[in-house]
Amino acid sequence: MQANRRQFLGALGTAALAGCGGARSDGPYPSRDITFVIPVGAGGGADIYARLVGAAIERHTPTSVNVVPTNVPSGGGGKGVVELFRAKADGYTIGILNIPGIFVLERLRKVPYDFRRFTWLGSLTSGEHYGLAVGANSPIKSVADLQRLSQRREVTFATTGPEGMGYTATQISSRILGLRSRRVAGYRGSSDYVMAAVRGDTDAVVAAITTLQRLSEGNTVRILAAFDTETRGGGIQNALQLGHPELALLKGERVIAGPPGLPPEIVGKLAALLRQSWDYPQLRKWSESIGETFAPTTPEETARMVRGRIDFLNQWLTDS
Amino acid sequence: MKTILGVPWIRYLTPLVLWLVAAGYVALAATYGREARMMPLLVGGLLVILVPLDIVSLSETAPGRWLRQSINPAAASEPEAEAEANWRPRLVAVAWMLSLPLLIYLVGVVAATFLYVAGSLRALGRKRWPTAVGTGLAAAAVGYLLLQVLLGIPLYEGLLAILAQARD
Amino acid sequence: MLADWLQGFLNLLGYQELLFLATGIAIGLFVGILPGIGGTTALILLTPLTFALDPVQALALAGGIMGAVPMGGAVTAILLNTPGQTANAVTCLDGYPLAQQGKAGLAIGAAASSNALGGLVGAVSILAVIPLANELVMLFGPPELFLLAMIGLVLVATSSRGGRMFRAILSALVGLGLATVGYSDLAGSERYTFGSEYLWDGVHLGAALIGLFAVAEMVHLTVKGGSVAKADAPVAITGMMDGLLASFRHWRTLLRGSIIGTFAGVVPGVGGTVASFLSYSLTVQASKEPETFGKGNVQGIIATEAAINAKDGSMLVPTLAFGIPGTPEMAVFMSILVLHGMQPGPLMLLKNREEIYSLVWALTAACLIASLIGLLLARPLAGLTRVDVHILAPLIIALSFAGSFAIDLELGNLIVTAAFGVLGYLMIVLNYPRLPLVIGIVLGGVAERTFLQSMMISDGDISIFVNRTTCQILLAGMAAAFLWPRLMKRLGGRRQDVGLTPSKTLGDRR
Repeated sequence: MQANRRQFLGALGTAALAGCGGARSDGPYPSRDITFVIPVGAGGGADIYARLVGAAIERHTPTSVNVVPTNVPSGGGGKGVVELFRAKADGYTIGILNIPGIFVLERLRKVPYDFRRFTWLGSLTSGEHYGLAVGANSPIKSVADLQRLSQRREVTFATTGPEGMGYTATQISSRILGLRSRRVAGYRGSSDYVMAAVRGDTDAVVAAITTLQRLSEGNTVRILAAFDTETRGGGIQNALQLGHPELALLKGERVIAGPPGLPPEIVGKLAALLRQSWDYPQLRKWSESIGETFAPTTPEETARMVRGRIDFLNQWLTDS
Repeated sequence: MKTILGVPWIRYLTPLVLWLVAAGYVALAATYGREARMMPLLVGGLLVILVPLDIVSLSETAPGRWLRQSINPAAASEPEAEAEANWRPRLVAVAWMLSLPLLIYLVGVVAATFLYVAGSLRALGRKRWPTAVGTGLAAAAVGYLLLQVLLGIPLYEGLLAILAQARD
Repeated sequence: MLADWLQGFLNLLGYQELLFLATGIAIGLFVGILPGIGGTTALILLTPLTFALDPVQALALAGGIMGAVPMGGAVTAILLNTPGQTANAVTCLDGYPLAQQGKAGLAIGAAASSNALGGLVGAVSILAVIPLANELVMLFGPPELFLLAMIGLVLVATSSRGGRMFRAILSALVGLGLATVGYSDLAGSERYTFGSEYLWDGVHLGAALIGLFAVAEMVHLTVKGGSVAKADAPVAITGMMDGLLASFRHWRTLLRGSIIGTFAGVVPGVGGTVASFLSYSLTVQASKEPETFGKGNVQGIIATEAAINAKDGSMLVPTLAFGIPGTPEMAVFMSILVLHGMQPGPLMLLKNREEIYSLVWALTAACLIASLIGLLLARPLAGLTRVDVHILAPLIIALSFAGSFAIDLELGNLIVTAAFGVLGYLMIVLNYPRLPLVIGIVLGGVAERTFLQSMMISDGDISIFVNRTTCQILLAGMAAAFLWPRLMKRLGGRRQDVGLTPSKTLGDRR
C-alpha cells in the first residue's frame, strides 16, 4: 500500500515537473521497488510461493526497496507472461514462470513471446513429481491392470483443461506407459478431478504426488505409481520399477525469470538475492508442508534444466 | 412518427437489432469446430426463432394481439410508449454516462470522478457552483482514500499523466 | 467434539483475535456495499497481511470478511437495485420495490434479521453436513451439475413476474450466448473474441453486473428525476422493527431458505448461485399470493437472504473437506489456509478441528454483528432513498466505474461496464428482465463445460443424464419446477373468474 501511494505521488510529481527536464539518477541496483509478476490468480500454489519468495528477497534489499507481487491471471496466465517478456530489462521486473505451463501455452495459441529468450534466474525447490491413482473402490489394482484394460478399450482419465499441468502430465505419462487413453478434461483443479475418479466418472487420474498422498489419507484413492525414484511400500511402483525412468522427468516446476536481455551484473545480484532468501522460515515451512525439497540452482543450471525439460516435452507432445 | 403495423417504427428497433446480432452470432458459430459451435448454435438458433415472436407481439395485428395475450404480455406494457415520446433526454443521459469512462481513460480515476460529479451537479442537476465543485472534490477525495489508500488499489492515472511521465 | 467446539470459541477471545475479527467485519461490510468489489477482492488484498498472523487470527480476519459481506450486498440490492454478489440479485426483486415504496427500513430490517438467523442456522448445519460431505460431493458429478444448472435456468425463467416469462427466456438466452465469449479450454478454441486479448477470459461478470444494474439504474433515475423512493411514498418510521419481526413471523420461509441454502451450498460452484433462486421460487410457489412477489413482498427478501447466509457457511465444506473451492472467494480462502499449514482434505476435519470451529464461530459472529450494524444504520441508509437523484446518481456512477476498474485493474472493464450500462438501461425502459441475463452468463459456462464433460465420460451416450439416480431426482425436480407455476396459474385463473384475485398487474420492472 505504501508503495502505491508513493508511486501515485511520484507520478503526480513527475508529471508536474515534466517541463523541467531533471534526470532521475538510479543508485546501485536495487534502488527502487521491484515488480514481481505472478501469472496466476491469487490463491494458487504458485501465487503463495511467489509471494513468499518476494517477501524473502525483500529482507535482503535496502529498506526502501519493496518487492511488489502483481497477479496477472488474464488469458490463462498468458497476459502475465507477455508482460514479463516485454518489460524493460533493468532488473526491476521479474516473474515466476511455470514449466511446462508456458511451453503448453505457446503450443495452444499464438503468443507474442518466445519463451526460450527469458533470462532464467533460478529456482528454489525441486518441483513436483506426478503419480497415477485410481479410486479406492476401483477393480484396478496396478499399472499392469491398467495396461491390460487399455488393450480392450480406451482408459479414461479425468484432468484439467489443456492449459493445466494435470492435462500435460496425463498426456505424457499415458503415452510413456503405452496406454490407449481418453481424457475427460475441464475439471477445476487437481482435487476436483481426483475426486472424479473416486466417484467413478473415469478409470484413473494423474496428479501431483503430494495431492494424491493427501487424498489417500482419507482412503479415497489408491496410488498405483509415483513417477519418481523413491522407494515406497504398499504396492506403489516408482518410475524405475515401471521400467520408465523418463517418467521422473515429468515435473511441474516454478522458475524465477526476468525479461530477455537482462545484463549479467543484475542477473548475478538477483541470483544472490534468491539464494539468500532460503533462510526465510515461512518459505521453508511452506515448502516442507507441500513436500518439496530445497534445491537452489544458479542461472546457468536453471537455463540448462529448462532446456532439458523442453526437449523432453517436445519429444512426448507430438500432438495435442 | 411513421407507423408499421399499427405501431411507431422505433419500437421494433431493439428486438430487430437483437435478431440481427443473433443471426450474426449463429453465422460465426458455424465456422467454429465441432464442440465449440454446439452451444452457440443452440443458443443463437433459439434466439433467431424466438425473437421474431417478440417483434410480432409488438404490433397491432391479430397474431400480435394473440401473442401478447398468450405468451408475451410484457410486450403490452406502458414503459414502451413512454420511451418513444421522450427519447431525447434519454439519449443525453446515456451519452453523459458514457463520457465518464472516456474521462477516466484520459485523466485517471480520481480526476475524472471530480470532473464528472461536479459537471453532473452543475449541468444536469443545476446546482450552484460551490455545491457542485465541493461535492466533486469530496467524491474524488473519498474515492481516493477508500480505494487507493485504504485498500491499496493503484488507481489508473490517465493517459495524459502517463504521457507526461514518459517524456521524462 | 463439544470440547473442540468450546475451545474453538475460546480461542477467538484473545484481544488480537477479536481485533482482527472486528477489522474483517468492517472491511466485509464496506466491501459488500461497494458495487463490484466483493469478498474475493478483499480477501486477495489482505492475503499478504495474513502472512504475519497466526492461524486463528487469520481465520478471524477471513471469517469476519466473509460473514459480513452478504449484509453489505443486501443493502445495495435493496437501496439501489444493484446486487452485491450474484446471489443478491434475487434480493433486488422485492427489496428494491420496497425501497421505492418508501419502505427501505422495513426491507433492510428484514434482510438484517434473516441474515443473522440464516447465518446461525448455517453455522449449526455445517456441523451437521460435514459428516455427509463425502457422500454429497460424490453424488454430484458433471451430469448432475449440468442438470442443476438447467434447473437454475428454468427457475429464473419461471420466477419472472408480470407476464415476462417469454422475455426472461430471451434474456437468459442472451446471457448464455455471452457466456460463450472467450477461450474455452474444452471446446478448444477462442470464440467471439475478435482477436482481443482482454476478451480471452470472456465477459467480465463483475464489470457487467455493475453496468447492468448500478449504472443502468442510475441513468434511469436521472431521466425520471426525483429520488429512489417515490415522492408520495410515506417514510415508514417503524419499518425497521417490522422488518426485524417479519423474519420471525415468516419463520417457515426462513427455515426453508436456510435449509435449502445449507444443502445447495455444498455442491461446489453451481450450488451457491442456485440456492437463492431455489429458495425464492419455492417460497413464491408455496405462497397463497404469488402475484405479490416482485412488487415488495418482504418474504422474498427473507427467503433469499436466509438461503445466501446458510450457503456461505456450507460452501466451506467442499473447500475444507476436499480442497475443491466452488467459487473464486473459496479459492483465495483456501490459499490462506494452506499458508498457515492447514491443508484442506479429509484429514483436515480430524487434525484441525479446533481451527475449523474457530472459523465457524468467527463467521457466525461476523454475520450477527454485521446484521446488527445493518439494523442500526437502516434509518440513515434508508435516507439515501430520499436523496435527490441528481446528487446520488453521479456519485454512484462514478463509484461504479471506479469499482469496476479496481476489481482487477483492467481498463477493458470500463468498456464492459459502459456497454452493459447501455444495455441495462434499454432493458429497463423496454421491459426486459435483467436477472435472467446475469444468470445466463453465470450458469452458461458451467452448463456447457459439464455437458461436454458428461459426453466425454459417457463417450457420447446422452442417456447418461437419465441413468444415474441423482440425475433422475434432479430431472423430476426440474419438471416440477416448470409445471408447478402453470398449475397454480390454472387454479389462480379460476379464482380470478370468481373475483377473488386482482387481475391487473402494475408495471414492475427490475
